[in-house]
Amino acid sequence: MARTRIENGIEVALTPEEETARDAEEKAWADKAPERELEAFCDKRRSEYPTIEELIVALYDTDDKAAIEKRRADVKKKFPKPA
Amino acid sequence: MSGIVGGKNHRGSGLIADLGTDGQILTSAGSGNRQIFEDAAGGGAWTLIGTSVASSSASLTQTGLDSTYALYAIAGADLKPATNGATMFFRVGDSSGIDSGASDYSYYSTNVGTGDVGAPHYATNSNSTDNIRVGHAVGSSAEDATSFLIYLNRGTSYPNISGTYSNQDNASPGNVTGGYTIGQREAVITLDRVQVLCSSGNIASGRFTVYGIKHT
Repeated sequence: MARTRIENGIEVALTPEEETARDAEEKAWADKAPERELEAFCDKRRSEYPTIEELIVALYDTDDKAAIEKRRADVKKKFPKPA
Repeated sequence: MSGIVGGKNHRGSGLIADLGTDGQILTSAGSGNRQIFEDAAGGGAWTLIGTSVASSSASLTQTGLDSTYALYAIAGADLKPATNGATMFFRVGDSSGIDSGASDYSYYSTNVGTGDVGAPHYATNSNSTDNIRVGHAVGSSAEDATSFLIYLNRGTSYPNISGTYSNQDNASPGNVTGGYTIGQREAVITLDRVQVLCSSGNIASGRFTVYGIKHT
């Protein structure tokens, strides 16, 4: 079914050239899905991992170290690697 | 006396105050003076440029932006993608059409939200891309939609935007997510149009509206 767009409130059918361009655009977006998924995965883990400062402090305290290890494990479980 | 407008010193006399012109309003002229017709104050008013309602539409475009206003407000309301998890794209253009080149735009967009699994708080950005993001992973279920309010500085420099968005994401049930977006067209253009569309698929429903903002 031919696609339409709305311009200034009026429905207009896409021209053959616009259809081709839109198909290419959607394919390009789909092709980059794995890349986006990996980027989002890294962002999510990074945002919840302990900070470098926390890691350094934990080097000198056994309890802190255990807590840090648990936090990292929990984050990994919460945000598993993409397949 | 119905339909008769009288001044302070003419109340009940049957006299009709001076008539104004189209668009003027009747207002006080100060203590002790008769009311008079004057132009309505225009300071800071938003003027509707146009609005479009999606109906399984590939894109929504509004033209008619020009140098009348240096600043425009652009509102997306209850926009629902047909494809679950679509990203909302924003673009600008000139009389030759909407700009969608691979390096036409740069943007930075934050994304925070609720949810136990996959709760986002991250940012996405690009210095060279074909759109500005105004919604992330928007769900297509009944409870999902996205809305945004962004300000477009048309000015004489690179057209740039700043604003916020929020949406229900593609989890089930949808988490509310949202953030702040800034972006620009990487060239000086004679901007006369703006557009919203999905990364893939149509916009099933929702409204897209553009206002010009007066400074005085």
